[in-house]
Amino acid sequence: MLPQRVEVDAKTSQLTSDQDLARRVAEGDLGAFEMLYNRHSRRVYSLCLRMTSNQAEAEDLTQEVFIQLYRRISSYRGEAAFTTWLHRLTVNQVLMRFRKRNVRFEATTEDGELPVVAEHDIPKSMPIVDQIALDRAVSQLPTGYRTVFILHDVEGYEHEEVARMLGITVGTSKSQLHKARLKLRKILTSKGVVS
Amino acid sequence: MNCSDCQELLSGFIDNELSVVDRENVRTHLSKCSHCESVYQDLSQIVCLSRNLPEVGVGSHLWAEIERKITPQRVTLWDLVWSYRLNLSIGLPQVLVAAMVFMGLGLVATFAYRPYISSQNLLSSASSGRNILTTTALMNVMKPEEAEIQNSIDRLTKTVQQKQGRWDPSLQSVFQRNLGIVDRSIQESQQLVRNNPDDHIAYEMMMLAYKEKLRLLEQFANLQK
Repeated sequence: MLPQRVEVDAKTSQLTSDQDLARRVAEGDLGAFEMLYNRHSRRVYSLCLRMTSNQAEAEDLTQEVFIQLYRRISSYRGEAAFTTWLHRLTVNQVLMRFRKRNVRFEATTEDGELPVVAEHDIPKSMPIVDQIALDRAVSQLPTGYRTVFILHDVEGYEHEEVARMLGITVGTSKSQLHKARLKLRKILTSKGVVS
Repeated sequence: MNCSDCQELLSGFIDNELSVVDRENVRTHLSKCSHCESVYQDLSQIVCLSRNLPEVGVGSHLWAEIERKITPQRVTLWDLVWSYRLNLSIGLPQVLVAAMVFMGLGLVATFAYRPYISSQNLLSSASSGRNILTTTALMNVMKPEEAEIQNSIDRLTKTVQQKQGRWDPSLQSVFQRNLGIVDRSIQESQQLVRNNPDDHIAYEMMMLAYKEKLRLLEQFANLQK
């Protein structure tokens, strides 16, 4: 019976660790790879989509990430957590794509200099920001701001890690993050999302 | 501290990265300035929400596409062994005669084109490994473990190159395809390490790619034993 089989598979998937699945994939078990895909594809795709702000590119990158994962999985020794490993593989793929497009993280983005926060520019309050609105606002950030914001605020990397990955200084990473947050606030208020 | 100074430090304040003095100055300003306090509240809210952004669903067609792309590329050791057995099924005497002929041709070709081959080795070898000059130059900047694994790769590459002439075309093709994939991985990882020399995860990935190449070469080097 199909429903039972699905339930058993789903149960097995829940019970099997990523490490075990990775080992089985390395032995040629495509079913195990599909389980890994089902388990992690949403997170990988979400990260790709947020970093690129482009659905087709995010799908393309997600494909690349899982193909790379499949090729390299026999090399995974379990020294780092699988999710950390996969996550880093994803970030690397996206950054490589950016580099091919000559996206520069050090240079000031199209937003120009650090926004000077003048009194009259700042709305009095921004009481409610929902996640969907924030997600949309993030997609409107210039690439440099967006990348630092996602890596630090969304994905939880420290400034030192962000700086290493992007080839920028820690100071630049902090500065870009601050600009990104201010820019987000500006976008959210100008769109009338918040009162 | 004026409003501009305060707002400049707000991200550091939220992330708890300020010195004690700066932190106290910001706190004092916020307690007196409702405007900056409002900016602070907004930024805090953005930071808080960003930690819990929902995951986005991925199209169901994606898995089918990935599966299609990976299935033909995977070549197991069994495939290689099977391919080797097929060769033997045509009969040992024929194989031996063919091997001798190939070896003879190989020797003639090696001696006849030795100067040409030497100069080519010095220039480049796209997918079959690194050239001598490049390897020597790279050894100077490599970490010891990277240099060690590169030495092993070079040694095995020579072994495989010696045996490669005796493989049938399908086996040659399998080898070249896999080697091309592994070499691309190595090049990508090297690029990452070059861009961020302190990135230990990128370095780990590069070493994994090297080990993958080593394993591939070992498989094919041992295949003819």
